Amino acid sequence: MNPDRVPFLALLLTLLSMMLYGVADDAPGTALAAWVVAIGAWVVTQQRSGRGMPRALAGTLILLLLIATVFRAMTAEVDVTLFCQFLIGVQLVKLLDREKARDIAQLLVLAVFLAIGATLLSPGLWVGVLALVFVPLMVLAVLQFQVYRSREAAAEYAEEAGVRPPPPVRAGRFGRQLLRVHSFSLATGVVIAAVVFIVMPRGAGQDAFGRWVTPAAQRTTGFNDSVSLGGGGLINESREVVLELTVRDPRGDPIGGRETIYYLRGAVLENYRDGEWSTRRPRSRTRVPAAELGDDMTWRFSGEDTRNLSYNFEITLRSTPQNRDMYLFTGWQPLRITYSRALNQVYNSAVRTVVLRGDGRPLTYSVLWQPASLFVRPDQEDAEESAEDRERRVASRPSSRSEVIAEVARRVLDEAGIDPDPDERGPDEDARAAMAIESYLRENFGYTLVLERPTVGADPTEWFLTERGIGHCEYFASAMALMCREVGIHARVVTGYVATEFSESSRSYTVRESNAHAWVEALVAPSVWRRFDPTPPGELMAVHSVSDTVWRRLGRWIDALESAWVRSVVSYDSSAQARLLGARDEDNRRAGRGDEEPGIDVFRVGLGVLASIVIVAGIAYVLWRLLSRTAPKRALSGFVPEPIPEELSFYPEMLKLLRERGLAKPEPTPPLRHASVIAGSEPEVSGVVDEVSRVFYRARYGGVSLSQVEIDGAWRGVEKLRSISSNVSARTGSSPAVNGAVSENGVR
Amino acid sequence: MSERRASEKPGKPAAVRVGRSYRSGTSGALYLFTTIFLGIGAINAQNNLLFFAFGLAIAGLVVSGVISGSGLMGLRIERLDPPPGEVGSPGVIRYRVSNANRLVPLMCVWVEERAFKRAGDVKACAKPSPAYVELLAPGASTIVESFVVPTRRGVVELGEFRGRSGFPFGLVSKIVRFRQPSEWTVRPARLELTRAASERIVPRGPRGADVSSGRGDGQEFYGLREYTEGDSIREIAWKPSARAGSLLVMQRTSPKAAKVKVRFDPAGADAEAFELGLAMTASVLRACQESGVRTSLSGDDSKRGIEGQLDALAKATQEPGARPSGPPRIVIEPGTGAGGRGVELRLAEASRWLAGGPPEPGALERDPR
Repeated sequence: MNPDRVPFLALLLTLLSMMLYGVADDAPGTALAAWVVAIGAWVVTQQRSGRGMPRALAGTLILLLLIATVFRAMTAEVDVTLFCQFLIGVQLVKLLDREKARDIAQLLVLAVFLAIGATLLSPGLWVGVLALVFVPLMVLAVLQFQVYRSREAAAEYAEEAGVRPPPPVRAGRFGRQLLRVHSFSLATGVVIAAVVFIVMPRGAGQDAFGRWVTPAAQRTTGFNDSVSLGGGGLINESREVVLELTVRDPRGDPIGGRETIYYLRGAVLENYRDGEWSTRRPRSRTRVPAAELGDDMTWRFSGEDTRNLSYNFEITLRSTPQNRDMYLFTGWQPLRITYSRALNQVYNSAVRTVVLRGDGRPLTYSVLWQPASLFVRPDQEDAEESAEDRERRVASRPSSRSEVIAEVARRVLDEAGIDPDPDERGPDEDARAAMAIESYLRENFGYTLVLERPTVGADPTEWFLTERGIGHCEYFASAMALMCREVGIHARVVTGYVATEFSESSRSYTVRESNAHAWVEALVAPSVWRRFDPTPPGELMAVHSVSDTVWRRLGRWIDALESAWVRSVVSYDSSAQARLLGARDEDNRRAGRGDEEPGIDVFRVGLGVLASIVIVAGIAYVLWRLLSRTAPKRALSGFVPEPIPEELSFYPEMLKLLRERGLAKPEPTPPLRHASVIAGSEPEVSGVVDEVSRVFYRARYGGVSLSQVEIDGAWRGVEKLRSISSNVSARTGSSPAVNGAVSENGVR
Repeated sequence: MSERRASEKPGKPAAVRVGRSYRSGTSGALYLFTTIFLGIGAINAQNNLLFFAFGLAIAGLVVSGVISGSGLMGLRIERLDPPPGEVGSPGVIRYRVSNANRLVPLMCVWVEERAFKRAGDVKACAKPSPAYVELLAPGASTIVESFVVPTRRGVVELGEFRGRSGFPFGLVSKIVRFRQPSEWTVRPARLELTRAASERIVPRGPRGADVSSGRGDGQEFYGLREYTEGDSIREIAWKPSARAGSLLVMQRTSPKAAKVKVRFDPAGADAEAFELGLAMTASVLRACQESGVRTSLSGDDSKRGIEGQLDALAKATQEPGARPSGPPRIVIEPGTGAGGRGVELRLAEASRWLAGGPPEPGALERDPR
């Protein structure tokens, strides 16, 4: 800890703030380029004592940057990215002009503002990790900067008065004291920040001053609410985590495993045209504003499970798109959804999908769902078909839209011994027919992530079935749905995610963009929709499975960390706050609906804050005591020795060296007597001790102030003692710490 | 110069804390603005990292207050007797700074006088260079120096001084004020005499004829005393020691130096000429001292030698309505042990006696810049 290194710390913090921006805004290129320029500017100015470009030129450049930023703000949207880029520009200019302490201060302030901007852009794990490095370093830099600036001022004052500036404190002594202040500041700061973080009301005032951050386009999930076949290229294999999923069995125990996969249903696509699947405009759509969700924050679909065979998905979405609609992921078939906080929702009860209006923040919810049984139960065969299902069934009758697909479908059923004609086929055979088609596709077609364009004018699904023979999940789902329709079974394509990446430690699944998938739901009996996945299961598992390489394991560990970060920090909202602080349920619900501020149990909060303060004070005290090597001991008999003034510090230094040499002076023995005692064994040391002690006595008890010559003489004696000790150390190979102290404290 | 604790010296008032205050600067305002911005940003974006950053910003204020507040609570400053200053030369004022805290170190503390005023509330010094304490460990103390250039001769009243520090974060400057009334004598400016003037004022003729009655390093025997540690072995009187059975050392008399009597006769000089006369008189006294000639000053009966004489010049006032008895001049009359005749330096011939010529008008009695 040396205040003279503050300029270097300022560079370090500048680079760190640039990295924070690069991570937060997903702009590593910008950050890297800024790094190169910043380091170059530093190297250039370092050789010229901080002097780089002329002040006027620096001012002009900053003015031009400001004009450019204002111009961009007028022509495009004003957002934090623009602000951050402006700050980086100013940082680079300032790095070329850092002559005085004031310039270093400006660099530190710019770094703080850039870090704040980065935090505004993303609260992600890596931003948090970098911030954890940034904050202590910044506190250290600010503490040292105070000394750096004061030294500069003292030197200026001394120059004005025509005297020598006061000598700086030796780095070792300074570092110990500064470390104590730094540790105390940091420990206290973190606890106060944690208390503020926990008790600060959430949910109120969002976007009250407009939206500062434009959601980054690349942060959308791999999931799509439409399927467009026939494009070329390669499917995105993004490893970005979308959500965490915990599956609970009817008893509430977490279940799952590496061999068990779960389907998370998102959009249901029913309209097909020229290789594109899209959603049908629902008739039975129910809008539920956030405020009307109900006290238990739960939405119930019809057909509530009564047999207690339902499973539960507990899902934490890493983020929701700000002010845009998104599909909620559920199991099939969902019965009940309970939210941690209310958002505006639209329910399509016919296909059992939910669309939410996102708010840019993470969302936690749970879905109670009941898996469809493998075979249609007799009571389901005779069940009354809903009007809407009937309409769908009629609409999906063979319509000769594609003779090619119809031909393939009929052939498949013929081979399976099932009548392709729906009127001739019994209703109980629809499920078998769908399974036959699923098996056909699984066994006869290959899986690939490499996309190829079909021949011009050809229907992509026909092309897949007849020519290509390989494709990705959307081709398989599209082919099966159309084949089912051609043989009179209504089917639809469903897009969502498959959860395959199970963590034994957290007993939960991590779902990434690359886990996006498409499959089929077929109406196998009146009102009985069952899931079919025609993608070859081996291929599917190969694509979505998690290998056990070291890197993958490390990746999983990082994902778990990220998951914990999101759950505990990023997702901390009014509900979590209410749970933690013990707010009443009704207050919680009101807070969730945004009616009013959450009511917090003042007594419990007060107790919590008080406990925190006591803990902080305790920790700070212990820390302080541990680090306070120089704190004087409490006098036992009320006698407090007068502290030794700074100018006589050569005396304690001499005693310290004697201790290190194993010649410690017993406390009650006067130093001159001690010198005579050790004279027999260490005559040289004895001489030095005698000489230094006499100088010390003159000032301490003689009431005279020492001249600089006398003080220098005493220090020379101490250095002589040190050199005697280091010579012995060198001969005996003792610890290098003593030798290190020579170079650190050797000049006085 | 001997330095003692003010409290140990009878009659000298100790430094008393009279209050403390806070002063916020640009950095404090910027910090406050940033904290508010963070709070608004956190609420607006509902970004939890910003909530944490907001908490850290508030913690910064709290920690800053705790560290600097507790640090300055233990700050003890005492002004030591300032050695006399001279107009136009940097004078030094020393302070003993102690840290009575057992845990909190003091860092970056500035010690400065609030005002340097002469009787009649007249500012007497240019802006001082404050004393700086970079680090004071818990329980430690040190002596630091502040430098100031006096612009007026006389007795400067020192009252309040203060210790201030912006540590740890420089957000707010915390100030502790102390009151310790004391006086600082500012002597007339030091003017360099020409070689001709120096030759004239030093008495000629036979010197060293007399010896003083006091001890010194002359040749004459003065007496014997017990040997004490530090005495030179050469000074041991061996025979008397043998007779007495303990070591005795010889003491010698000091030679009596030549002495001159200096008198400043303002003789109706205007204020500026009066100041010039005082400065020249002081310079004559100093020149005599440097030449080993003892001096006495007409009107000074302090018996403190040249120190008392220079102090008397520092406090001299012009008697209103004094009748001029000739042109303003400095008269140097030979005294005991000095040969030769008296010398007279007329102020009108100042350019002849002063190496750099007479000072600029108003330079010896001016308002501080």
